[in-house]
Amino acid sequence: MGKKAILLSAVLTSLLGAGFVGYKHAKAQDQELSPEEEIRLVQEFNRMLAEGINPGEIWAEMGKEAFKKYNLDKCDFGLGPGKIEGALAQLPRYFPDAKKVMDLETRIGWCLQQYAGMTPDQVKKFAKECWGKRQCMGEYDAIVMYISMASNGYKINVNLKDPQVKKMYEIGKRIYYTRLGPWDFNCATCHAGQKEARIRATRLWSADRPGEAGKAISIFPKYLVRWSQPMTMHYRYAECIRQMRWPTFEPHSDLAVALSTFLYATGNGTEIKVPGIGR
Amino acid sequence: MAIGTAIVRVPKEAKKGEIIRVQMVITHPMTPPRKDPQTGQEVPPHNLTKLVLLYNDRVVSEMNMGAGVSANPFIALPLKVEESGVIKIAYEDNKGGKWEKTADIKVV
Repeated sequence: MGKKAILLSAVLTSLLGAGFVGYKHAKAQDQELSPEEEIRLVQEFNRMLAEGINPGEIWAEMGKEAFKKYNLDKCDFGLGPGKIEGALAQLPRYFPDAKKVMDLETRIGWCLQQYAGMTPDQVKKFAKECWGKRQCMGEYDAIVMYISMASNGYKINVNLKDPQVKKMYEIGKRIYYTRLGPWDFNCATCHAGQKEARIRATRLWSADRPGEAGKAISIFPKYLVRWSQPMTMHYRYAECIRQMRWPTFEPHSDLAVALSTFLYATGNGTEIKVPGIGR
Repeated sequence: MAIGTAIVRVPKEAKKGEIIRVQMVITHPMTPPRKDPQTGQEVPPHNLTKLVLLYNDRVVSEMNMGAGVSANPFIALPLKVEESGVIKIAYEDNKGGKWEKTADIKVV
């Protein structure tokens, strides 16, 4: 009986000892990164990102050269030839010379055809140059970034009184709420409603919660850390449409213009802050 | 349009003896050594190895980097300024690339 008790106590002590060592070890790790410390570090990281330089600004610097190289200073973005300050804020709009409603990227594509002598296929290839790549320094992304950054500080103001723009807005709204494809998805499956939707840990914006659409739209084109390159608006549409298993998206198509008109008009009144930063 | 482009940003004016932040972003893929998933071949690493901060041609700090640093790194370093001059960063990678970039500062 005595032997047994001694054995039991020995086992208990060793277990306790092991537990204590483990506890001590865990505590030492915790002391290195306690929850408060972790939150403080994340806040510090976010503050540094907000104060620091966004890597997307390098694309804007490259875009300045490419803008001249492709004769885009002749291009009219709605405020006169070559004037880009505040151009993004009032797009999409109706252009009498093209007889179409156009958003920024479609307009760039049209101007590349007119002033840089590109064929529609070449423009499409040029726009899709960096799709699905990493650390790709495409001239197209650079041009879009350069023109968008000139509108920083302006407020989005899409003119819905224009009947042509209003018509495009209605089409865009229709597309946004149409279920399509083998998985029966629409944009509103994720990006609508008062209930908060998530994809993994990412909180998705909703068109129904006030202010969120504008906040999401006003930071495009944004720099993505996971791809180490910026993502333009049409690339974002292409990614969303691929994830929904819809038919393949073509950049500068009427579908993109309709979606842009709906989204930018929903975000009317939001201040543009380009480039944004994404995970 | 190439690897090694950089932005260096300092405040336009600073007081004498003030500690400023020298902020920089360098474009670089910073790829670690890995196997290509399609072909199975070894891909050698390509990353920045060294960054030197010079203030009026005087070395202030040196930084050694490896493959663990993110692509397009953003770096901010503190610097005490005493006189107007040129702040220069010089950086190199493991494939023999060498670049430098300067920024001017005015001390009042």
